[in-house]
Amino acid sequence: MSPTVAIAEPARALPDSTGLQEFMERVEADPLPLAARYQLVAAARVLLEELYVHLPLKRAMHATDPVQRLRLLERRLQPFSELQFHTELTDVFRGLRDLHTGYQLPDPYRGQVATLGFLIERYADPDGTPHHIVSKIDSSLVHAGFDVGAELTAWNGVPIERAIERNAAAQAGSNLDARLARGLESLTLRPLRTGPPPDEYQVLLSYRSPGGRRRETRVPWRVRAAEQRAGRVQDPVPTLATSLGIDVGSEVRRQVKRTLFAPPQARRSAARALRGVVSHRTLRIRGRSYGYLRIFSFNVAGARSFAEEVARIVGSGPAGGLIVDIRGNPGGHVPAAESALQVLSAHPVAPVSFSLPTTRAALALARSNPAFRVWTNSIRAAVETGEVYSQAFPLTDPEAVTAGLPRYPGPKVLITDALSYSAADIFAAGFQDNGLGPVLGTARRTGAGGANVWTHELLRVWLPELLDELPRGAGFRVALRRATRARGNVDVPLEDLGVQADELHHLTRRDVTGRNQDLLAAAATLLA
Amino acid sequence: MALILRGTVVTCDDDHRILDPGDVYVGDDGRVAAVRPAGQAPPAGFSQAPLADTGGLILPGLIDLHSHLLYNTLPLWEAVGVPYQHHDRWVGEKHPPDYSTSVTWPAKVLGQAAPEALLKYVEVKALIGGTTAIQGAPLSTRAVDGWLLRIIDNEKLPAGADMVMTAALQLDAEVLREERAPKLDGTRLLIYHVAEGRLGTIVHREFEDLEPCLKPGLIGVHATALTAADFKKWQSAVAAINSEEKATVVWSPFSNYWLYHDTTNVVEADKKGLRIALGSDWSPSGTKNVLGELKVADAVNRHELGGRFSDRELCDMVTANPGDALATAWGPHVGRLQRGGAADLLVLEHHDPAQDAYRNLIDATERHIRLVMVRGKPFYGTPSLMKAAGATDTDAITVAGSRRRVAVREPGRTDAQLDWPGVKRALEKVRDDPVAAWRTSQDALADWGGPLDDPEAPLALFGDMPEGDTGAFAAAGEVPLDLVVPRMDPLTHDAAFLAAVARAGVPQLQHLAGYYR
Repeated sequence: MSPTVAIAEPARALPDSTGLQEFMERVEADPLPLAARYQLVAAARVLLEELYVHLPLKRAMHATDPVQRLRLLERRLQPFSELQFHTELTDVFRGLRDLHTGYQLPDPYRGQVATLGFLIERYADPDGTPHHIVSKIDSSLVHAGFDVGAELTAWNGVPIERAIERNAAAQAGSNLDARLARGLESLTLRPLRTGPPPDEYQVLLSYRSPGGRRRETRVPWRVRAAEQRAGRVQDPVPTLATSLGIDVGSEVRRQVKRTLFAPPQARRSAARALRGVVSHRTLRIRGRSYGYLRIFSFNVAGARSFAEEVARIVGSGPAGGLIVDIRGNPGGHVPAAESALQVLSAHPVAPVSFSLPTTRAALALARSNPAFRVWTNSIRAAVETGEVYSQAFPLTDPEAVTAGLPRYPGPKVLITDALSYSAADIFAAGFQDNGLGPVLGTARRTGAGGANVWTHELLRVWLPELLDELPRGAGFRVALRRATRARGNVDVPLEDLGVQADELHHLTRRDVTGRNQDLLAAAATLLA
Repeated sequence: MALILRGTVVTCDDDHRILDPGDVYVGDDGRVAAVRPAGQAPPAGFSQAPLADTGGLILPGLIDLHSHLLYNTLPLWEAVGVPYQHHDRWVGEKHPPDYSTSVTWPAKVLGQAAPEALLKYVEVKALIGGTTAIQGAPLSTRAVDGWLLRIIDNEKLPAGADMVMTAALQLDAEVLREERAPKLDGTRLLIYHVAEGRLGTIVHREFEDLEPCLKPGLIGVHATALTAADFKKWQSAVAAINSEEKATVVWSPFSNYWLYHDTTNVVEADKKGLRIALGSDWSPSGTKNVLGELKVADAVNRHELGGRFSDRELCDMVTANPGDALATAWGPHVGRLQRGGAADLLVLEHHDPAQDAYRNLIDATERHIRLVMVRGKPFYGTPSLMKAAGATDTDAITVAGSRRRVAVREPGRTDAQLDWPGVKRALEKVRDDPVAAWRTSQDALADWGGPLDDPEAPLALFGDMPEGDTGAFAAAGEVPLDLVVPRMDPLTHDAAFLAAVARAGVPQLQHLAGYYR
């Protein structure tokens, strides 16, 4: 039995933040009216029944019936507190195990994130023993040996491994690796737009300091704005975008991490500016030079400018090989991802294809939005053919979009993880299917999000008769078009399957606390 | 402000009274408080109201029941494939000038790179033709209910609710039957493009799909492929529900002749009891405003229809008839000058004293428009009448060689700040470098993660017409790098417009030039 130790506390609070308790008191002072809650459940039903492209898949793969759950929620709504309501509605969507499709809590949750002010990363010894290390921490919270390198052993009295598993079970990730990765990430960072706040106001942590001393500390949850514009709290993902494939929660986390922990010069760039989503450097590994292209996100405004930037970067790097790293990339602009892929290939890449559900609302959308014209006939025909998905068409032609840009013909390797999601899944699939090079995973599969996602607000532009305005800035995002792969994997969906890595690398302590030396060396080996 | 307008009042009311001279009492609430012969005692509240003696004809503001505003900065599209069989044919036109290059791309770029300027420009274009209400709102990230005019699709009358459904693209038969038809309960409208094409073509099927919606409240646009029997069926279905009601067809003869060399059989429609209203349609194949369309209707009436319609009946097609059609949703608000109705009105120069008021309206051109008021507020007119009507914050504008003032900026509206020079500058900026303007607009949209109805959210407009072949670029958020946005379509039926009409050589449209000499 270890000797009793005093429980420490950080002396300072995280800057620019509010205590969770204070935030919740503000929320509870002005609860969402009952009528508004009914309105939200009704809107959720329309979206899931009529426009959610993965509904048949999710019913089969996860034995879930979200529509019935919503019916029940509607019936049992009355006694719920506001927080219970948000939790219930969020949970219906979580049951889909689809990070594209979710409920977005209304104001004042919009744009806010609950954070403990530090990050944890995991590595394993060669014998498989896991370690959970504080990898980043805001300087205001460093205390009592709780700093980068501290190893967590328990979380609110629960062994850390179990705490992560339990947290992972509450995540929407569609494969186990992805859920575990998100379970780990959300231990310390929770976007309040996409899920209810933590139950506890503070967390009791047991840890070993970098010097090896066993200690305990109590760290409070704090709430801070993820992004603001002109004094208004914003979502970090555009409300109006027709070509998105992204996990909004991860993008929020990415941006908060960037704000809190990135080097000062990186914190200053606009979140969606190109320099905020890509970086590059030259690596010297075993006497040879390689280009290293890090793509943090595909959350950019347009495909051409992104492809131009990628072409510029790889054109100025060494020709001996290129390591492309999309770990943690939550996705973004699908044509931007595919156009970037195109400039990395000497040959035309075959893009993924997208299908709509064959519901009546999808037909109405295809009828009223001229951009969906190609999908119309097969949706109409579904009454007779019985197909649940429309014909599949690419969103765009990456070769046309990147016309005139130089291509990178050299050898390439792609690094992925379980948090590489949606547009990043699509990028990885394209990399593999078009034979650009091997995929080196730090997890067996990518995040497995295969869809183009639309907001409720954007859908309302074309379906005003079907979709009503939502109260207090609440929203939904829904996977509208389903992605299927190309070439040798033609018609294979990405949702729930992701991209299987060709080679696997388990992160080491040097990777987690250093600059990924072992991982990059493994990648370079694949280029040799 | 309360105002009294004096002139020859052409009421277009049930009795088609003309008060010469008469007074129209415009209330602070944007409604007509009274219409009385001049010299009678004013209604309560008007004893101190200023009186503006217009010296002209005072009419209800004109109603344009069919347009597509997003496209109305574009010039006539001189497509080589005319006459087309129906509306699905010209969309695929690939011979230069092809459809996407001429229509889709320029409208798409302007609608996202300069949405406020575009809407104000096309509203001014309609205003100077005496229009006070126009149909054809673009799809948008937030409803724009008319900075200047009433935009029929988005107007919330009378109880603050939007009761108008529209569809320029055809809906599925099931949707029409199960979703739209039940909503046509006598309180709502459906303005629907139907059977646009030549007689005997496949688009007739659209009328068959529409059968469950043949009810009061349906306003059918074009219906060029319909026969006498179809019109009979339509009117019978409406009358079976309400014997007082009439079916409404919107006639756009210029556009019909331009694209199909044929037009709606309005004689048979009229014989079967349908109500006919005019629509200018979009500028790639239409007139500049509904005043111009009225001339086309007049010319067709004279030269093709044997003078079936009187001058008064033609004028009703831009006033009382569309007003009555809209009354299903709005009540009797527009299209007639009467107590309690909307103070949407037009003052016209009595330019041909030898002719009656109706012929004066038909023959009037843009330079004869002296004042246009919407919701009781002056938006366009001669400097003296605008001043007399209490207009503030106006800009100079020259129309058909005449000096006018226009009010495009409404104090207190944070979502619409451009004045008239600003409107033109914003549009020209897009023309100067459409690719850069597009990218800037896409950056702004991508940067906005807030609610779309926030007045500070970037506004984006989307087309309500087919896109044609936009190739690989549209979904990628890109535009062709060689994109050209044509110069803004001039506001009036000028020499360039009439020269294009002459080049097209469609006989039925050649009479139009005569009205503008």
